[in-house]
Amino acid sequence: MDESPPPPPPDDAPDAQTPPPPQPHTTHTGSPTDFLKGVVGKKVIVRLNSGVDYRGVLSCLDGYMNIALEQTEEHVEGNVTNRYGDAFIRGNNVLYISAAEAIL
Amino acid sequence: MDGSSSGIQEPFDLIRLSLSERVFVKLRGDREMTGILHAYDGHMNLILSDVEETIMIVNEGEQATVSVAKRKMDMLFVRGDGVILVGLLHCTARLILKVFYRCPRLLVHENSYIESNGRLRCVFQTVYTKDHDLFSS
Repeated sequence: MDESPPPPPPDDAPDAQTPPPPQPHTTHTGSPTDFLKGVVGKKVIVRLNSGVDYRGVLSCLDGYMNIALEQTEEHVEGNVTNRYGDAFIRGNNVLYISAAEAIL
Repeated sequence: MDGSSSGIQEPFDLIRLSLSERVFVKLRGDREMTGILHAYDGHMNLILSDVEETIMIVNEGEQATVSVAKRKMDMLFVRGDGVILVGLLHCTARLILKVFYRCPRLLVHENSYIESNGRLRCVFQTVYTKDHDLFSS
């Protein structure tokens, strides 16, 4: 609490509209769980610890971060190396899940 | 269109749909295999039959080369912690469904469903539209 930012300075330029606090880049705020709920059904990029990327539509995921992907493309160093209609990724291999399209 | 529309609520449902189908499994240590899936559990331990394993071996040296070794096994237990990915080869069922939807003379009935073994059970009817003379041509 001692590190809290100082209160905004008194408004000594009455004609200037004080800008609102900086908005986050998306309107999406909330917990990681909210993010994951938001990306179900959307295109995502899943990166594994090995550096391999999987791009596809996220069907669903569970608490272990096991992932079901549809229309999956496997990318290794930028090249598509495999395609799967459906793929199951075991959660322990997941480094991150990135939204590849806008989420609401 | 989320997973619920295709009857998948959790990732393991995808595996359940692949029982007694041929699956592709990517494993740690640059190994891949295909086999017929007989059983699995929550660790992703797998029982596969009619398995072909492909092992990528990187030969260190002046010029690193990759050689591929293959071997076949009749029946195999795969420990779950080695599994990276299970790719499903039965997804043609959903593709067929999409093709049917696009075909003007066929209508996939609402009661079509994917059986527990992953096969598509279609209840469809032929619908004659304006281009029904296509049948005679």
